[in-house]
Formats: sequence, structure tokens, C-alpha cells
Amino acid sequence: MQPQTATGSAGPVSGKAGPGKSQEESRSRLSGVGDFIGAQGLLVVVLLFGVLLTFLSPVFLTTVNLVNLLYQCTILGVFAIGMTFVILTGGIDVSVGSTAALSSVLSMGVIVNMNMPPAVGLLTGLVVGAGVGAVNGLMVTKLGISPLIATLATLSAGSGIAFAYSDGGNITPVPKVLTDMVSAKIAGIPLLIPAVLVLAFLAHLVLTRTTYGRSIYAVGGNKEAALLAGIRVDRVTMNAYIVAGLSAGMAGLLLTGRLASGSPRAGDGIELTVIAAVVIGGTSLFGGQGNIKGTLLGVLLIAMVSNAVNLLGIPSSYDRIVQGVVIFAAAALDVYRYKYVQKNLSRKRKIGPPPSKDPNGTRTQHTGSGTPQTTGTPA
Amino acid sequence: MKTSPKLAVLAVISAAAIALSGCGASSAAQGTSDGTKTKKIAVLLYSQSFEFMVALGQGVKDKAKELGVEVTVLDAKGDSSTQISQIQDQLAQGVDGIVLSPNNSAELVPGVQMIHDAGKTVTTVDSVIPGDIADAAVAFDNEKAGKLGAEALAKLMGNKGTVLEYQGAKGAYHAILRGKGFTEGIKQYPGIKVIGRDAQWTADNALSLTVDNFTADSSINGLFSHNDEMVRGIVSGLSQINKDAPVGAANHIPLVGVDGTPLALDRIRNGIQDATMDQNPFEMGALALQAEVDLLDGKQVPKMQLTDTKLITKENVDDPTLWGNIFKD
Repeated sequence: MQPQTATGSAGPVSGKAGPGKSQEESRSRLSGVGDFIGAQGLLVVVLLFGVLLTFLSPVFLTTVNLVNLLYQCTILGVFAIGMTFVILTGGIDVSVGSTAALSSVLSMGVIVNMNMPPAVGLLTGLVVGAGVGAVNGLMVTKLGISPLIATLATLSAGSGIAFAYSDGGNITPVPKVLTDMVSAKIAGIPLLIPAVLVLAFLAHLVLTRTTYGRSIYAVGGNKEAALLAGIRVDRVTMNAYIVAGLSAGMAGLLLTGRLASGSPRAGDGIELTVIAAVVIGGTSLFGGQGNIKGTLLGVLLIAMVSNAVNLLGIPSSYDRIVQGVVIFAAAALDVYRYKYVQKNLSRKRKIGPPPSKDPNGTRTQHTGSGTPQTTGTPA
Repeated sequence: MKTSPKLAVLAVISAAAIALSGCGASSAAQGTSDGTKTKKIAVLLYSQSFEFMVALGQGVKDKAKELGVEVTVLDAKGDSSTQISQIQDQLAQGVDGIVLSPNNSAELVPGVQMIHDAGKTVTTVDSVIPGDIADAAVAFDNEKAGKLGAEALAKLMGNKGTVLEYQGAKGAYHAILRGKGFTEGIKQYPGIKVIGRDAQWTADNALSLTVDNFTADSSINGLFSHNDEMVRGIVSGLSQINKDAPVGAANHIPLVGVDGTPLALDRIRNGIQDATMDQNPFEMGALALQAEVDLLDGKQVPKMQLTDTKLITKENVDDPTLWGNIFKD
């Protein structure tokens, strides 16, 4: 059973700004409350949590702490932006942590062991990231291996290579350019914060304003329908894994700069946190639904949990309970929202006239199960 | 026509098989060439992902060459059940004895019993199995390291203020003993308050703990880390909140670690970290292998041998006998 949602169906892929807008409209009309609980609901959760923390800790709502909080979001944010692309296609990438480690170790290897200029090393890190992403993409699209297993394989192999290359040790010294880049500040605010926001904005533009971005939603919503609509599903999926790999490579470089070493432990075990952040942010694990704004909020919420634990001195075992509860709540929200949208769809199907007769060019596509799928609603 | 590729594949496979069996035969011949049977010892390390463990493995291998025994070094990748199956595999392959660096003290008790059930001996290294059930044990004096760290840090802090203690993973053998030694040591200075936080051995956790705890409590004026790996994160966190004045500056925050890794020595040289504790993994690995070989030879071996530790500061950081300096080359 391929889960289908209104936003996830294969819209007319024309590259114009139109489809994005009409889909947004259709979604808000279909599920006003569901939508509120989605992106806005998370914003409400974040704000409520913030108010709670303000009462619990006198230092939470200080400029220093808020800057620290955002600073701690940055690297997780870079991971999560890339992960959003993959999850939107209905896939998953559990290899991002080890990709970051590989990027960290090999980029420093090029600089320290091979005496190359820092720029070459940094480029290596990015190429390594994109390369691992490409391998993931090939396994998923060409070999048809399930994304979880395919990326589990690269998780294991990537981490193994990183440890083998570095002998389990740290590769130092990290060039000053990189550490300076990561710790640069403007008026007391780490430059990394606006940089990651710019990156997020770019990703947002790609997802909402380009043919490629819309194709990702189409593929994630319904692969067969996307194929029938003439979308090159394999290529779109492949590129999503490359984006995730590239962002993991970038995050690996940032970790290298921040922790001043090319380390095979960089990003160790972060994959589940990244996936949690994206899913908390409202991106459906079934694909086809979600956005970058939600992902950023998800990252913020996770960072707030860790910030709260540290400020309040909660023992680390409880930290994980809190995080578990937050993930559970977000996932429950996701299921609730999904069911709500589905209910609306089926009700609409019963009442409304067949959408294929609509003069505004709205199409009906028949999937394997024979369920008619509306693509956008009449304006 | 159809059979010829199959034949070719068969030929390749049989060639490979011959080559492989040839290899096996030659190594077996090596084993028996000097008359007496070479002792085969399995060295099961809990994780090769730390420089310390890599160096310990190196220490074992060097000693093996010196003693003329055959060692197989395996990595459990931080997983106790992997280590248990490695024990089973090695026993099945008929090793003479096992040197075990337990991933987790309590979880490896059944592993030690398995070795004894098979009639073999085991020497533990680095971590210790509870109840003294191993035939011999070699460990670092973790408690003393914690205590020395406390004393060094108290001196740097002028015997008063607040220490942030970055603890290793909860329940881990090293974290318990280092924490115990540190707590005992710091008790001698009633002017010092301790905030203990679980950083789970990782630099990334240490970074966020540094940033957030300084925000929550501005009276912190001393830092103690259960290992040197976490110090990477501490240093980055300090620079994030502008508390990274170098050693010697008036507003420097004293920082003491444990392990004496190559990076820690660099940091001490560069005036970033004040001190660390040397724990020599080469020596430890060699001692453990020696103990196991002695056991196999039927010699008397002490149940527990502790390798000593010493404080490393700017004064003695270039001492060539420090493992951090040896490992680098």
C-alpha cells in the first residue's frame, strides 16, 4: 500500500511557480486543522517549550544562551537539510554520520598526510560526501535495494574506511582557515548561524521553485504516478541521495573545524537524531510531504531538549527519555495528520464530482490499486 | 560452447583453492619449524576506535614478536555480544589462551566463564572483570589518575571555586574509578564545589555541556575531563563562549584531562590544556601478554597488576617515554 496524500500526488510538473502555490492552497483547504497541527503546530510546541524553559531556568532567555542554542543547531541543521530531500522521496539515509566521518578523515588526510592546500582538502570532503551519496543512490535506484539496507551498508563500510584510514586516531593539525571559518563571529554571533540559514533558504527554493524540487514531492507521493507523468524517478531519487551525501560531507567538514581534528568519530551515531529532527519537522517518512521550514523547527526542538537538559542539570539518561517522548509526540502527530488528510480525501471522493472533468486541466491518475488520485483542486 | 565458461570458472575456483590450501600449509609449517609448538593467543580488544586501544594492540604485537608467540588481535567495536562471540570463535579455533580487554566489566563475566569451561586461561587488560574471576589482570591505576587530576586542578584553581567534571559513560569501569579518585581527591579542598556531568566520552557532548553549563553557572573556574578525547569538544566550546584565554593569562580556565593522548600533549605544548595523566598502553599491552604467556608456562602470576600513572604538564611534556610522544612517530 503506497500511502498517498494530496500534496504528494504527481502534480503537473511545469517548472512554473504555479503548481507549488496551488498545492499549498489545496492542502490548506483540505485540512485546515491538520495543517495547523503540522508546521504551525510544531512552532507552537517550540514556543511553549521555550516558555516552559524560561520559567525553569533564569538563563534560558538570555542572548548568550539563545546564540548558543542556535550555534548548536547549525551542524545538525546541515545534516537535516540534506536528509529532508531523501525522506521526501520516500527513502531514508542512515549513512550520514559515517559519511561525515569519512569526509572529516579524508579531507584532513589530503591536507595533513599529502600536504595539499586546504582548499583541495575541503573540496575532497565535499566530493567524498557526494560520492557516498551517489553510491547510495545507485544501490537504491539501479539495484533496487531498500534504502534502509543500502545506506546501512554504506554506514558500515564508510565508518570502517574512516577508522582504517585514520587508525582510529585523530588527524591534526586542522588548517587555521577551517577552524577560523567555523568559529568566525560577527558582532558576537557565529557566522555559521546565518550561513546555515542561507543554505536552508536555498534548499527551500530548490524544493518549492524548481522542477526538480516538485519532482521530489511527486516521486515521494506516488512513484508510479510520477513515472506515468514522465518524471525520471531514478534520476530524481539519485540526486536526492547525492544532496544528502553532500550535506553530510559538508557537516563533516564543519565538525572537523569545530572539534579541531579529522576524526573517524565525527558524526558518530548522529543519523537517528537527524532523521528524528526531519520527522519531528513534519516530513512524512512515507515521502511526498514536508518542507525545510519544518525541518529547521525540528532541529531547533531537538537542540532545545539538549540545551534544557544541560541548563537544568538533568542526568543524561533522562535526557534520552525526554528526547524519546518528543520523538513519539512528533511521530504521533504525523500519523494523526496523515489520517486526517486521508479522511478528507475519501470524503471528498464521495461527495465531489470526478475531478477529471474539471476544465482547469486537473488530471486524474489511476494507480495500481485503482484509487483515483486528485492532483490539485479546481481554483 | 556453453560449458566452456563454466569450466573456466571451475578452473579458477580450483586454482584459488589450491593457492589457499598452499598458504595454510606454509603458515602451519612456520609454526612447527622451531620444534616446540608456538603458543597461539587471541587478543580481544573492545574497540580500536581509540588511539589508546590501537596503541595497546601495538604494545601486544611488539611483545609477541619478542616472545615468539602468535597473536590474533580482534576488535569488538564497542559491543559486548560481539566480544562474546569472538571468545567462542577463538576457543573453537583452539587458541591456547586469551588476553581480553572487556567492553563492559559485568557483561563479560559469562565470557570469562566460557574460557574457563574450555579449560583455558584469560588475562584481562585495561578493564577488570568483577569478582576476580580472571586468571590475571593488568589495569591502569585509574583511581590514582583521578586523584592526581583533582590535586593538580585544585592547585591551578587556587583551592577554591567550582569544577565542571566531564564524566565518561555511566557505569563504565574507567569512568567509575576516575570519578571516584577525583571525588576523593577534591574532598581535601573544601573550597571547591563539583558539578558532575555525563559526557559519555564524546567530544561533541563535551562541547554542548561546556557552552550550556557556563551559561547556567558563571562561577565555574576549573574543568576536569575523564579522558583527553572529550577535551577537543571542551576547547571548542570555550572558544565559542570567549573563555579560551591561554594558560598563564589571568582569565584562563584550568583544564585537566586523563590519558596523555598525542593531541593532549600538543595542547599542553600550545598552552591550551594545563595537564593530563599518562597511562602507557604499550606497557600495559606488553604486561598483559607477558602475564598470559607466564600463565601458559605454569608460572605464578599476580592476580592484579596496576600500571602507574604520572602527571604531565608543560614541564615534562616533551619526555620521549610518554606514550603520546611515541605513538606520534
